[in-house]
Amino acid sequence: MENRFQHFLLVSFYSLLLLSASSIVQAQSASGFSKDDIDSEFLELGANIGIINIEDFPSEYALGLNLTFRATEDIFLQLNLMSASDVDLSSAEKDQGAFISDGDRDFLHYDMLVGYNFFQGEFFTSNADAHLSTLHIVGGIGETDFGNESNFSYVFGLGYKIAFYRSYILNFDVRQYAYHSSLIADDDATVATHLSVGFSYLF
Amino acid sequence: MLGMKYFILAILLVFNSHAFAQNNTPEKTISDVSNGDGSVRIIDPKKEVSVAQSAAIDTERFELGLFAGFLAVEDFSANPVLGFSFSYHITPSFLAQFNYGESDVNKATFEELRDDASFLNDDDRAFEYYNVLAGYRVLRGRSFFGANKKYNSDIYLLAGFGSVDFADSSNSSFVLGTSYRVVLTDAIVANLDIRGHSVERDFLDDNKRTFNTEYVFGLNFLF
Repeated sequence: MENRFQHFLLVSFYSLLLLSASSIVQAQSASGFSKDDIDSEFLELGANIGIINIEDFPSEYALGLNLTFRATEDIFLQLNLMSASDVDLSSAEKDQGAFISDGDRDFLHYDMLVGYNFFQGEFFTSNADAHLSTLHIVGGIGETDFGNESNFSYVFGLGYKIAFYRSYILNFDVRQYAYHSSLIADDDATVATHLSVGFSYLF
Repeated sequence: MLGMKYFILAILLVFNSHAFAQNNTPEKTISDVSNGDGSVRIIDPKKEVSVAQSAAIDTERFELGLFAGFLAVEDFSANPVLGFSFSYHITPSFLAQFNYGESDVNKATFEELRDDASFLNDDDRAFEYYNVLAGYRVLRGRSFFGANKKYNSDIYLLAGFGSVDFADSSNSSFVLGTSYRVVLTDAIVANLDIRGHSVERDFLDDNKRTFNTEYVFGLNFLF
């Protein structure tokens, strides 16, 4: 039953992605403006660095990549990949023995999110140049690989973006990955919290 | 019959011209408002043009606020956190802030498996912290909520020191964070803060520096 539900979520998400892409193509062709008259950037490619707090385990530095598709002015779709290598032993593991072996201590997570720009804004630096910004919330689904387990994950988060130049964007994000893990106890509800800062390029 | 119409018209014209003459008779002449030496005293009308201004932190210097959010504690779990803050705007670009927060940390999974062993007393499960932070406004601007609402907003970088009580020990902490602040009215500021608490901890004979991630939403009263 759970697998069916997850399959339904995945199919729904991909359908939403395709519908959004086709609606933008239709809007462009119907507008009558030439291509040069409108902003044609819809994709952002970004990288980030941060820290992840894995439940029952220590915090660890994490690196990530993301691809964002700006579906409308307010809504975007995002693919994320993040990794934390060689997660250290927790205090409990040092006391009682490792819960997972050395080869399985890499944390890998990828997801597909829908984001909503809650606050659109503009910020001014000292020379009074205006920089566009957004405060956004995101939600979606993904997969978390850790301790020789792969677990379906729900993702929730928020963050803000500041465009320091037209195409270069600074990102602050906090995300929570919720999944069920059997590493220590059977089917235990687990949450990992990921904090990151990154840059992305709009094209 | 035609003569009657001319008669009524003539009466109306006579009364109308009399009324016009009365209404246009100035109450004061130039000579009435002159200063006696031939110069004219000009009377300026009161000009009060009301200017619409958006809510801003202008004369207010202090903020008292409550916040709620989540705190992820290293080696344990993410749990709700509640607290209050007090801020002083030293200049438009700098603020000093005091924060107090508390989060009841749930049992870690390894604790639940070992019910026979007591790793932490109930009293020691509260992650209690206070800190004093300095904030620098790196960006000031406006945030738009929908098509018709616009708010002044700022982004601050926060850094400072504090203390954390958790797991039967009290340790100093270093705090780093950012704050997105929106001035909703002249009296209320909303903030979204993301903070990291770096603190030494001695638990199960393991002494190490831990990093604990917190994100909170707050409402502050300006005065």
